Amino acid sequence: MTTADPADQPLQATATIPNVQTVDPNDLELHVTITNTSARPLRFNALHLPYTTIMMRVVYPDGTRVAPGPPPLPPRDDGEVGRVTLAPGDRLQYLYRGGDCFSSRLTPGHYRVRFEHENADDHHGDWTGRLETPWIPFEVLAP
Amino acid sequence: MANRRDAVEAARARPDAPPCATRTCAEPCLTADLPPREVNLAISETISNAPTAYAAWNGTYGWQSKYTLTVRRSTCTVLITMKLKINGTITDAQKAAWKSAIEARWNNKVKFVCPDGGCPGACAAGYPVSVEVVYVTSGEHYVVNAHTPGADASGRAGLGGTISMTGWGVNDTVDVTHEFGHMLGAPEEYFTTNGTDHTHGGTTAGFRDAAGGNMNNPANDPLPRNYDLIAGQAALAMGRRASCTSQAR
Repeated sequence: MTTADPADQPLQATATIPNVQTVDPNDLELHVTITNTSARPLRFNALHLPYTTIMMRVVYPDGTRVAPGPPPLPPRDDGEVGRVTLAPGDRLQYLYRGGDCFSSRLTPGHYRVRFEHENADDHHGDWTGRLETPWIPFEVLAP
Repeated sequence: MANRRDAVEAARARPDAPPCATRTCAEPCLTADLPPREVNLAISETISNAPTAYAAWNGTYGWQSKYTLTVRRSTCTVLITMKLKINGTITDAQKAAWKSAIEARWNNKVKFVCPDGGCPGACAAGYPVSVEVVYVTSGEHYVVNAHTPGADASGRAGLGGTISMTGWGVNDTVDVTHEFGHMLGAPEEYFTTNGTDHTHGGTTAGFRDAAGGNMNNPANDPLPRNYDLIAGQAALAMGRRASCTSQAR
């Protein structure tokens, strides 16, 4: 479930979904854990991490993205808010719910979901890089 | 009879008096309330050119705008009713604060001016637009998930707890008014949305700007254009010979 060779990537993201089959896609839950696997503390910008519509990517079997509902209004960033120092081995956990992502009911069928996050802004001394978990299949069942 | 005369005189003193209060209504259409219209409209928006730190916002989003629209010619008003079912832990006081904030932000900011070839003279002064949030346990337009900041698995949540159109922070009375705007069909007005540069050539941050409307900065009121899709639905409710435009009140 790692996104890159740990030697090159000090943060790892893993994801699970407890309900791979669901009648109501609003009940879909994506549990994500981000771990500092390096030997040094990392300053991590977690400001945007709570936002389901921009962290949770859902696709149809052909890879086409399921358009999420509108994103949240971006928060102002003073370079301090939302920052977390992760000591070696420290973890952050997030729970993303389908109900916060889909504004329309998904039709019955097969889908895949993963977590994606990238920070390319190095102005504040934050960790920069990309985290993404492998695709996890799930199925929306007919009611 | 005297009461009717008094009422007419009182109505004439009001600038936006319904026309049928001040003159004889020759056509029933001038005072007939129209049946409520259930709106369910697909909305799409594409965000681009977000600054590096906000690159995750770039992309295409889609949702359904849903509400009940009622055109009342007896009072020359348009009422938007939004039925919300709330999931999660929230107090009655917090729900009341959401409702109060949203209605204060969106009520009576515009009127629709709707010339109607099928009913000339109907509400010629326009229809002030109001919104009403109604909490329900079934038959909802949306399910809103109540989020308590700090209550998620990591102890973190969005600012004020509001994380999406249908994920609202229990103590937030600012960003929720913006999310409500999406329910009414209004797109974002930040970064570049649907090709419109809201940084004005890079002269503003492009989001939460002091002069921005609610869909850019939720501390402010919505702009008349944020009601344009609703105006179109009001015209449809009136019939094929009507057209509506949003005007600031």
